[in-house]
Amino acid sequence: METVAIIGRMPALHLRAERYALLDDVVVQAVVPRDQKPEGEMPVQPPRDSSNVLAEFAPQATEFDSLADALADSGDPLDCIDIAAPASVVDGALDTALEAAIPTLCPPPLVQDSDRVDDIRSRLSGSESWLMNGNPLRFSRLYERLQKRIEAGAIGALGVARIGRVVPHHNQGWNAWYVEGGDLIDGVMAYDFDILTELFGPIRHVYSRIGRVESTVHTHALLRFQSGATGQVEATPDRSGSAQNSTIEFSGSYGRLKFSGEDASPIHYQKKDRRDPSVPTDDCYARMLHAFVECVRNDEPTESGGFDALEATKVVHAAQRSTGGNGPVPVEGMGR
Amino acid sequence: MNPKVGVCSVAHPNAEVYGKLLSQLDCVDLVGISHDNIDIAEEYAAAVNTSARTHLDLVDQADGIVICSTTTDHSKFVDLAVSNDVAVLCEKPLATSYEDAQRIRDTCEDAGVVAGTIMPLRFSQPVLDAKEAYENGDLGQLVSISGANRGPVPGGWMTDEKLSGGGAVMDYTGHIVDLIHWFTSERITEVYAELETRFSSLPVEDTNLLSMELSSGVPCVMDGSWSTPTENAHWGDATFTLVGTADTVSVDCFGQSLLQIRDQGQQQGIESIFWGADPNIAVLRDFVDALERGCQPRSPLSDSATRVAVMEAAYESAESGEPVQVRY
Repeated sequence: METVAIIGRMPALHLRAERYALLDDVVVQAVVPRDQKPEGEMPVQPPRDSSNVLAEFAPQATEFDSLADALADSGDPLDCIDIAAPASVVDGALDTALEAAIPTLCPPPLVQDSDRVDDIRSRLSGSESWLMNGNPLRFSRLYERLQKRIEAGAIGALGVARIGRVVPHHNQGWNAWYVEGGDLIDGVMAYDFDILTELFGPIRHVYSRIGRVESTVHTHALLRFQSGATGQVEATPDRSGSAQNSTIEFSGSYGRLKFSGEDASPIHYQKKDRRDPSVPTDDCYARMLHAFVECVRNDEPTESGGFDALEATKVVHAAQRSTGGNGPVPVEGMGR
Repeated sequence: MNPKVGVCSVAHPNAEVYGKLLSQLDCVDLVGISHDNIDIAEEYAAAVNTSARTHLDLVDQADGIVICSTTTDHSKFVDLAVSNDVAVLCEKPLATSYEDAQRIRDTCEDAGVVAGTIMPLRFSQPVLDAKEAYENGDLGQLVSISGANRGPVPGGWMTDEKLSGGGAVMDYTGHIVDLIHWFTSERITEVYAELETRFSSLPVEDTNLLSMELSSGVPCVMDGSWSTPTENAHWGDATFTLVGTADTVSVDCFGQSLLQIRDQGQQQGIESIFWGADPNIAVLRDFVDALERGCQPRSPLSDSATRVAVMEAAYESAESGEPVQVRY
């Protein structure tokens, strides 16, 4: 039996609790709901009373005001911690988790302050515990196929990688579909930076701009990989609630892999919005949480671990710094 | 009597397209095709049942010429046309440098000839619909613009810097930058470029990612790379998205297409066939109409120099590794 504490907001709490409930011998023992008030530019999903969700999916869980309180007062010792939000929403939670030396799942960016990257790195290196990269895209079948194709030489050497996102998405099993607030860079593009680094190697520098008028925001970032390849990532909030037009395109020296969110809807109804038919037992979140619990049981992290999330964190920091009119910002200079 | 129009030089791959379309239009008489090598001119002319001519002979016979030469030769042929009081419709980019582009523009303006550049996207119906929505205020205040115009790595002179001025930047920047300028009536003031050679072993860039800023501060981003695989179902693409405070409009200029899948014959494989209204025909009709009325075409040559200035800034940015101000 593994006991877990989740820290985050709705709908992340809902999504996580629902999926943990489907895993054998896993109990959500503590929940730390964060304030629903958005700090950044991203729209937050409509709040849902966390107590209702907990009663439905995590009846044994106790709510706490902080992770430290949960660690101190949750009764049985916690086996693992699930940080279900970027650092801008739950800053400090990772420190608490690392100090407690409890296996932790956390998405990039791990920290808000680039000066803290070295500190996190050394703590990860010296800690008896471990951190797993909490980017759900790494557990998506779509990305698994993309990775296998790329590794098999489907496109040759990368020339241009392009990802465009309209967020938040509807429930999409192949994709990360909720946004917890923060800005487009740390709340959305961080996942793409992580995936691109995983697929194509380290990013050398980032140049980004933000367009913002009233509450409407659009961000783009141009990337240069250490290999010399280039990349473009765009993100903009959706206002209609119906957009599924994420696009992914990797063009190489002799081939291209291309995906459109439109292609991820294999069932259509005339009177309903289209929906991804993935189920909570098998979407990218479920696969991630299952992998996390298995690692906890085996007491060893996945190969990537937290150091990959740290690399994506550095790209996020470089992109955020670049938007201030600072030109292209080297990733290597962030936290080293 | 129909205006007389000829095709001047067949160096550009689109010369064949324009020769064919001109031969089919009822509103114009195709009076000939010229080229430095008259044998090549004869080959192209025979295909559309017109005359092969020298350049001098062509401007002597024509009311207007469509210049499909190498970019470095644009200046020479524009001068030839202007000195013979012949109208000009010129392939893009206008010149390999902003200085040359300005000189060509000034030459045409001083002479008062009808002069335009070939910008088919200004005639794309989805683009026109998006422009109307933007101008009607349906999008609210503009937040950002994104575009892509890509194709395969070309061959021939287009990859020879001495004749083309560069690679993908010279080839594919112009159309999207033109839409940005045309929609907003603003100019791009700053450019940051990520250029590299990744799809070929050519001595020019084939990746072309540009991050730009308009005079109003609105950010723009575009991909104009030679990144389309040669086996792609369609030659390339042209897309354009405007994000506004009230709405977002996304245009796929060649989205109206059908798929052909063929097991036998010369065109085996998968091909995407565009069935929307052909903007190239509209470009030529507009030029002929301008000729008849003595006014400037929808894409006047005077707009072209600014696009070359953006391209120059892109190269300067790639060289310096920093965003640079566009000098107009």
